[in-house]
This record gives sequence, C-alpha cells and structure tokens, in this order.
Amino acid sequence: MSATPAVDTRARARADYASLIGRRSRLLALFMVLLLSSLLVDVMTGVSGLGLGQLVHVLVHPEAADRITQVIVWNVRLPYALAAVLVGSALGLAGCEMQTVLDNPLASPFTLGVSSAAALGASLVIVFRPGQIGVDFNALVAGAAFLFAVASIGLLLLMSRLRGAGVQSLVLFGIALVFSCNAGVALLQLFATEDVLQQLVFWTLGSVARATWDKIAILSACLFLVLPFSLRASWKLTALRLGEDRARSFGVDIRRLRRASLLRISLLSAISVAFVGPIGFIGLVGPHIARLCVGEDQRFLLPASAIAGALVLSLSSIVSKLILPGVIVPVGIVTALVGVPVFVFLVFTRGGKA
Amino acid sequence: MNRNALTLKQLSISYGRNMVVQGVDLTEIQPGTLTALIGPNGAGKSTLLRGIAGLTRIRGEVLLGDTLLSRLGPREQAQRMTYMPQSLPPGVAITVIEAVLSAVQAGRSGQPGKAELDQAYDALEHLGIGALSSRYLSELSGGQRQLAALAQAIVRKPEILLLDEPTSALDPHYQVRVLGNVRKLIQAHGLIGMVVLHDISLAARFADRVTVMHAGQIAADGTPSAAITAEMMARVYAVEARVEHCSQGQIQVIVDRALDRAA
Repeated sequence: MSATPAVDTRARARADYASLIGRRSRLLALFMVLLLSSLLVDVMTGVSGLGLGQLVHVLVHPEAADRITQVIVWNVRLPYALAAVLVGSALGLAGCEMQTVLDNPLASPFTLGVSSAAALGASLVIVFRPGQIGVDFNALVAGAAFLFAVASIGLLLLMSRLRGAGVQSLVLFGIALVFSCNAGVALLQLFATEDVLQQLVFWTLGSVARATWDKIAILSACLFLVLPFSLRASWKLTALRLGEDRARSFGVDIRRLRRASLLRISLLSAISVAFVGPIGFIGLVGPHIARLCVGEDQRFLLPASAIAGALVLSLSSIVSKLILPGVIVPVGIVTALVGVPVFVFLVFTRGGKA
Repeated sequence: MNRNALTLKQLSISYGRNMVVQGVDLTEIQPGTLTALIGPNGAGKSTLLRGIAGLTRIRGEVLLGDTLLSRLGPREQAQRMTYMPQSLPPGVAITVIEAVLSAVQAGRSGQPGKAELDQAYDALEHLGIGALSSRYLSELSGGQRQLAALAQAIVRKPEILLLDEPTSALDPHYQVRVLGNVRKLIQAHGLIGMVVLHDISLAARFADRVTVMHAGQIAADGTPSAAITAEMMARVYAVEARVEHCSQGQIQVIVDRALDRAA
C-alpha cells in the first residue's frame, strides 16, 4: 500500500516550507549583491572619473597611488559611500521595528520625534556657538543632536511607563514632542542671523558628506551590536504583528518587547541623525520594499529591511552626485526621488505577496 | 491530563469608573467540557474572558484547582492557557506554518527545529488544514483563517482554551467545523474550554454549559436547556422568544419580536 495521505501532505508541506525559506534566503543574498554593486558604483562615481581597475588598485595598494587619488578615494568617496550603506541599514532596521511595535505601516524611526529632538539639539549649538571649550564645532553639533535624540526617547519611555504602555498614548506623546521640538527650532531660526540660518537649514538637509572614519566605526559598532538583539526578538515581533492580545497569550511580555525595541530604534536613529543629519523616507520605505520581497516573517524581514534601506540610500548617494555636475546634492533631498520609483515598481509587480 | 476545575471568585473588571464585570462567581468549570458565554452586546462576556486570560487587570480570583492563576506571571499564565482573539489579520504577509510556528516560538528563544515544525504540522493536520500550511494568510477564507488561529492555540498545548467569538462572520460550514473541532479537542485532551458566542443556537448545540451574562453579572448558568429559556430571553435580551426542542434533542431559539427595553 502506498503512503497515507497525511504523510504525503506532510512531506509536501515540508518541501514547500524548505523552498520558501530557500527562496527568501536567496532574495536576501540577491539584496546583498545589489548593495555591494551599488557601493562599488558609488565609490566610482564623482567629479573626477575613476575606473574600476584604478579603484581596485587604490584600494589594494593605497601607497602606490598618487596623493590626490588617495585622498579622493580614502577620505571622500569611501567614507561617504560606506556612511550611506550604514546609515541606510540603521534607518531601515529601525523603521522596520518601529512599524511593528507601533502597529502602523506609516511609522518611521522619526515618528516619535527622534529627528526633531536631534535637530533642536544641533540648532542650539549652531545658534549659540558655545565659545572655546576645546571641542571641535562639528563634533559638538553631532554630540548635542545625539544627546537630544536619546533624551527624547528617554522621556517617551518614562511617559509610557507612567501612562501604561498603550501604543496610542505613545504615538500621541511622540507627535507632541515632534511639534514642540519643531517649534523650538523655528524660534531659533527666527532670531538667527542670515549666516547661521543657512547653517541651520543645511544641517536639516541630511548629507553623508559629514561622514568620517570615526563616525563609520561608531555606526558599524552600533549596528552590529543591535542587529543580533533584533534578530533574537524576531519571533516575538512576528507574533506581535498578529495582534497584541494574541502575542501576550503566546507568552510575549509586550511591555518589555516594546521598551527594548524602542531602545534599539533610538540608538540606531539617534546616531544616524547625529552623524549625517535627518534623512527621511529610508526608514519608511526600506521596510516596505523588504516586506514586498520577503514577507513579514521577521527572521527575514529585519535583515531585509536593513539591506533595502542601505540599498536605497546608496543608490540615492550615487544619484546625488549625478544631478548637478560638480555638486553633491545633500542626499536627504534625493532619497524620495530614488525610493519612490523602486517602491511603486514593487507595489505594482508584486502586489503584496512575497 | 488536567484534572483541576476552573473557579472564578468575585471577579470584577473596570474600565476607568465603568465596572464592566461585577463580582462574577463561577464554580466547577470542569476539564473536558465547553462552557459558552452568551449575552447581549456590552454584557461583559469578552471582557470576562480577557480577564480570565490575564490580559486585563482584575479584582477577585481565578483558580485552577488550588493554583491562583491570576497571581502567576504572564509567562506562566501563557503556559497554562491560550486566549484566541476574534480573527487572524489577513493583511500580514506570512504563511500559515509561520503563523503557527510563531505561537510555539514567541514565548521562548532560539529558532524552531524539526520537533517544533512537527508540532505545528500536527496541529494543522489535526484540524484538517495540513494542505494549507504554505499558503499566505491573505489567501485563506475567513473560516480557514479561523482554523489556522485555532491551530496556533492548540499547538501551545494549554490546559485552558479561551476563544472570543470564533464563529462570528463565518458561514455555517465553518461555524460547525470550528466549534466541532474545539469540542473534539477539549474532550480528547481534557481541556477546559470557554467560548464567547453570539449565536444562541450554536451555544446550545456545542456547549456543555451555558453561562448567560447581562450587565456585567451572571444572569443564568447551567446546562443549555436550563440556562436558555423564554423567560431568560425576555429578561436578558428583551425579546419574546420560543425555545423549541427539536426531534434530535437540540435547542432552537425562535425570536418573535423585540420587547420594549426599560432603557
């Protein structure tokens, strides 16, 4: 007698599951390949042309290249391109977690006021220029932005603890924070001199041209610190996507999950904003692109969101150098230009199935 | 197998100043039986169920045998009972097997191995939906999704199964299939089952015990034929109704007209 139908079904189900996991893993690998290609093109793109062979040569034998090419590749192109990748993945990952813990597909890492608070911190330093305290001005701006961003999340967690961990009160308080900080920045702008005003506005246009090797080291350390914790929470986050009551009934401590997640989000987004300024859209669209490609099993969605965010920002960085010859347009302006077509293409071709 | 009965002692639940459940006492909810909570809208049925599940703050006690369930931590509570809310969201892009795996994995760390995967397939096959395991939630009908949700609940092997309106918005085929499966599981594994239902005839048909709630209190409690009476229908639902016993012993409620409500 042949195998019973139940065994047949089980074998087919196992095979289907294995092929699903395989397909998603391959998609992640494809994402990685695309990202690496984009990174390479980003380093090659710029005012002074640089062929692939020449680039590889400078990267492998930096001492053999002429001084100018050395500086262009090692001090400008490479840090900018890497910053785009790192900030993009930080924002993509943070955005993915934010959309899940707030149960809102329109959420982004900046929904609860992280970037507004950072902008306020940076603006205070730019306007009041604390005199000679022995710290580099740009480091001071970044430091203030980071401090304010972290403080905003601290305040938010404190409030959520006082008011119970409801999502709605969290979002409402976050939005109040956004408006308060924006009002503060507007007030500072009102009284700023023309020169300072220009600096203020320029800071709010996020740009990877603020990247240095120190910042890249800190960013990557932060990302590699946070990612394992995100992945560890992946099943809990998947359960949360299916409903808060359901997840709690599965034994998930929702308050703890949400607090830990907000902490990760704040760390990633605060460092990103402090280093390169607020770059919008990545944290919103990265997770959506990932979701359209790999679905919402968070084991795959979290890394895919990070890679998708990195890819969009890296592509934006390339485009930002091509729009005006000889000028690097702040990448924060370009992200939507690049992200929207990618996103629309995926929505129309994949239609929500992974 | 579980031999302890579930007892509710003076259970009250308030939302702000509004006391939705008022000092409910229910004793001897026995393993292997299904209790249906029925009552008009706003009677406090779902709130009571969430209170038992530990999802909302309660006053009073929930006891399983001698164990005070309401004093256990969320994790221990989740190990002993599973609460199933109204519906699995169709908009989440995951497959049925992943949804069931999330029920196994959410409360623990690590990744699912062969044993966990087998548990999940067992639960699906038990409910006759093994063939749907690699479908996306969005591709399922409402009834199939409800069965998938039930698989999530049973894969956790709870002692107490709490279901909040599992048959609302389902067609008769799936109404009977879902509740029939629930009943079978409860009897086979000696679970304590409580289910909130709107359909009185379904409650009468599938439940061993019917508890009627009205304005946060127990209005009637007993076997279906003891709890569901014309007098109760008038008092609780404000309708004039006939309670007919069919040839096969089932109870059928026929509502003739709405009575004037005091409020």
